[in-house]
Amino acid sequence: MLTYVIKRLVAAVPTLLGVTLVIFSMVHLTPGDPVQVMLDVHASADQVARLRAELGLDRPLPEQYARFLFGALRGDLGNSLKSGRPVGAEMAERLPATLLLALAGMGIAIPLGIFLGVVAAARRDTWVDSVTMVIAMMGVSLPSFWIGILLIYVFGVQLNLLPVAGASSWKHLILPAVTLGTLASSVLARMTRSGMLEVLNSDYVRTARAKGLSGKVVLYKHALKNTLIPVVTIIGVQIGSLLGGTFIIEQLYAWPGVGRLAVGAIQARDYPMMQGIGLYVAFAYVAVNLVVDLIYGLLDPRIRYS
Amino acid sequence: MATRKWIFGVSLLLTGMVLLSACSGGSKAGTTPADGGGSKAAGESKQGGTINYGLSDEPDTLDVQKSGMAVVNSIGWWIGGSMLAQDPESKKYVCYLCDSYEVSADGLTWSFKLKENAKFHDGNPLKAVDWKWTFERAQNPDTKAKNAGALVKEVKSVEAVSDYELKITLNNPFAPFADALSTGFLAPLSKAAAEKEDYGRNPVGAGPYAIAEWRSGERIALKRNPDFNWAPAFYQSKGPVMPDELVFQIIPEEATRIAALESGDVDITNVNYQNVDRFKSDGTFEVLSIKRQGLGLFVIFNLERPELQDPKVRQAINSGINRDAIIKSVLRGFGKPAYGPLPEVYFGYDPGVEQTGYRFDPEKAKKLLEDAGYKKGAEYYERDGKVLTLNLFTQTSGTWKAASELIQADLKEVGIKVDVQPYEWATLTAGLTNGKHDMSLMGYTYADPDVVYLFLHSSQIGQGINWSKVNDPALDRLIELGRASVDPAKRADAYKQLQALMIEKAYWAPVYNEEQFFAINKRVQGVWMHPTKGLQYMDASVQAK
Amino acid sequence: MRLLRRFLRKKAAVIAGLYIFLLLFTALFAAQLSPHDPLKVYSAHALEAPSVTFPLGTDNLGRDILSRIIYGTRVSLRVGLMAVSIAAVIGSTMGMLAGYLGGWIDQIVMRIVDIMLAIPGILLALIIIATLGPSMNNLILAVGISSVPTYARLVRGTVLSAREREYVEAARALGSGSLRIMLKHILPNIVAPIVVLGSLGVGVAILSTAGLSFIGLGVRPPTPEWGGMLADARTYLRDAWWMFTFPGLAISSTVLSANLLGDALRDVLDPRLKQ
Repeated sequence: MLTYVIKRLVAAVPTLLGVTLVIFSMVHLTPGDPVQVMLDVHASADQVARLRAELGLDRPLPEQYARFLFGALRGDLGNSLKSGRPVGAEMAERLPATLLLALAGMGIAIPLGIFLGVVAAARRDTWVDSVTMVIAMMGVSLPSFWIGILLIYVFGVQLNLLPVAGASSWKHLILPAVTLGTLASSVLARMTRSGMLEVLNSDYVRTARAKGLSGKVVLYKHALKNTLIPVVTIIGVQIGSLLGGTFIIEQLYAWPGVGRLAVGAIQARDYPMMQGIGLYVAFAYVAVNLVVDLIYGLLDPRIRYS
Repeated sequence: MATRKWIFGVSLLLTGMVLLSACSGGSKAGTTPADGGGSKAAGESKQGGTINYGLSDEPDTLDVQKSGMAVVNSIGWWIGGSMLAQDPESKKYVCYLCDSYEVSADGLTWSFKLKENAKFHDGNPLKAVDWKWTFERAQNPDTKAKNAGALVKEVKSVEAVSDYELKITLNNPFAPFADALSTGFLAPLSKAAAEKEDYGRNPVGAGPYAIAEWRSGERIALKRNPDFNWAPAFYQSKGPVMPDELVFQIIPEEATRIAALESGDVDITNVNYQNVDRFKSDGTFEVLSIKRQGLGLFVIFNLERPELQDPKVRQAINSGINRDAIIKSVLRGFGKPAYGPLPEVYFGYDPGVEQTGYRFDPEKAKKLLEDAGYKKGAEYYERDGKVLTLNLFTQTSGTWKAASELIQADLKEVGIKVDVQPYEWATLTAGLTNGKHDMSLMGYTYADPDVVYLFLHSSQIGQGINWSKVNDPALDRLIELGRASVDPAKRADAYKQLQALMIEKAYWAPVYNEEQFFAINKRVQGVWMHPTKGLQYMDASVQAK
Repeated sequence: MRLLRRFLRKKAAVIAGLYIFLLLFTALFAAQLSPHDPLKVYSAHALEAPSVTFPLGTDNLGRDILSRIIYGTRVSLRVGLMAVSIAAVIGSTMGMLAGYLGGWIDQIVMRIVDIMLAIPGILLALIIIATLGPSMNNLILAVGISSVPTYARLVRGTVLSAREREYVEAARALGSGSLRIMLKHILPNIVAPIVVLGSLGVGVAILSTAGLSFIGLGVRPPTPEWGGMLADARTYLRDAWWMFTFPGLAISSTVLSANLLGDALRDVLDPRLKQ
């Protein structure tokens, strides 16, 4: 298994390189000059040239990219053009909030989604199924900021139960995590339902039923377990994207995560920050995928790692 | 989202940015202590408590010399203090970190006697050598100073005559220098602290509040400086301040900020125009306002475009904009139409522009276009078979976006096709610098009418912000005359002529001047509005919840 | 016919289908259905509550919300359908090449897909729009490109299983070329999953557009677009609920319908779920 992990990590290198290259090129293609954003608009041409040289922005792009890569290998992502502080330090300050929100959101989404999906599948084609699925469907049909503003208004202003902005206590986590969790649970519920139905119709479940096993045992022991593989995949995809920060939710609830940092970096044309975040997001993606693949093995002993 | 506020150059705020921050503007509505009214600290105000402020933009750094953001000027001032401060009543610059100062007759030599009891938060005394170091750091190219660098451009030398005597010599008389010395950008720095790692997050100053904590993306907490007792004379309190903490909570989204104010999560925030009346009539809040120290909104033209080289076309656009309707919809009536390049709060403002400036007159606009050789086609005016089409750069949200849509609709009625192009700020300024615009919305905040030099002098084409590409020797002469005149009467006359010329040539289409509103939970007492510097937390106190 | 009957048994899906038809009709006849010009500014009537003249009220500038929602149907359907088409065409091509040809082509294509998946869609869209400028086509491109990997993966998987089937083997044995096999024998297999994914994708695209409008990267003003209307309305919840409510309902009902339709299609078309 260790060899498998190492193999996978080696295979991830091209992906990581690709992501950094794509982000590097896109960031440099974007109009807008970080030096002009940094200096006064009427800074002298001399000042601009000086700063450009100091930041290495006057070098050819391939050289700049190589510098970025070798810096990253040494653990040095450069300094943010906006704040002048190390990119790594700025990201490290924002990561805990992003991780916390991602985990809390999934902590709500996974049980809720799987529960709804199982209930709907167990009562297929009854009103329970329809109601559950329409609810689940609503979750993916509403613009997140629309729901968020309504939640803020109802729970923050009208009922005055929860704080609406910031991250200074566990109470601050509730609204963003619920918003995120509800949206994510919808996808999971639908995935679980269709997976369950597929398994319930398969031969071995029919056999189990024929052998006289009770409905519940069949449902939970056989069907659910076999449904989990695609569900885990979806969970992986969702966590992967949550780790990149969820800009709209962070923006709305003033949550200090990576998403806001990334959008701010694009607006300020903060090249080093953009590249640093790109690298981090790619890492997160690769890591989550690896973990998902390892979980497959736990769920299905037929899968062997080689 | 795109409401990041940068101040460029000599505290020039090119507002893409709907919101002024607490560093600019002027006001009659605010309550200053001398009025005796409003929510001054009552006699029984107690020490303790926290003031929570809902802040839209997070500062880039609190190393004030390295920032150009309005919010840094403001927060930096409460931490750092400044040599001078502007008296809210007389508008004169009085001593803050000095006991007295004098300026030589030629305006070149500034001598200060420093306060001997003032000291930095780290306990070090604030002496003349610290000021010398502060100025020299701002001038050192390695510092890459932003606003501070521009503010000290005319400084020739700084001399520590004794421990508590400072002499600053200028190259040329520089009218805005007194104001520069009252900004947060030129707060005194403690060398020992400023040379430490990560100083921008751990600033040290000599102001009434000291940094307690900065949690990235979340909050900046300031705490009471218990040693502070050197506030300028116009405050009620000499210090230290009453509240334990002044916390700036970073809430970028406007709807959330307002909700946080209503739910009591924050005590103070700026409120958008549609909410002003509601907060005014709500007994829980007090609403203060400040007029912008600058021109709120105007349209600049790119004079390199053949269509816009014809003054008649520019005049037609000026006549086609319904300023009153824009003020009513976008500002909900909290503004005044602008007719000239300078705001009424400025020295040298000529009230005559209100008579001579362009008024909404679509028929006149059509006639001007016909005089310029355009013929009305099916929907729009045309010349040589080409429809008169112009793009208009604007921001992606807020007042600029709404105003651009109204201008587009107004000019469509006249018969000019406008292609509105919203960009976020970095893209917008890059486009202007590269001359991709036909027209663009613009706004500024500045301390002095000399702002026209930056926007309109021919030397500022290309590398500067003369994005209109105005190159008019007569205008250049008036701008230079205004800069160099020491005699106020002469200076005022130069600006009067300049305003008349701007209207005659219609180089800009001024739209409006606005006020900025802040709602304050009455739990917090004694916060008042300085007419040019914004909200004042010196005399504030907090009632227990 | 049997498929149609099975589809018709799902009431929710039928209603959703009818609703989508209604939207198409609205989009086609927007000019006839709108009570007002969607761009016309009635300054004197800004922020008016629903009335006979303005059935859904007016926005902050004084434009008729109903007319803007009606015209917005065109924009939303266009963005939804075109973004899905872009994603489906590019994604399926990539997936078919990777799945059928295999080998190093598969490796390269799937690496590209990985890279695209690893970059958050919103950042991709932000950069695309910042680079190319705000316009409806660039918006469509931005929204479309971010869902390319989904199609590529799905199609590749389908192709992998299809190409092992007997008839494909037979065609190959008979000497058919790769292109011919792909178009004639494999393409039909992937139509059903793409239709399902596409109908779900329309909803995703409309929501992504709303999200981009929230950041200020939506379509250029004054084009009426639901997400943009909603984004403009977000500070007006208190004093103009109609500005905030109706565009939101337009978006949710449309996305919900597209999703219900997609789900029903999946149940009907997916052979494994046949009873």
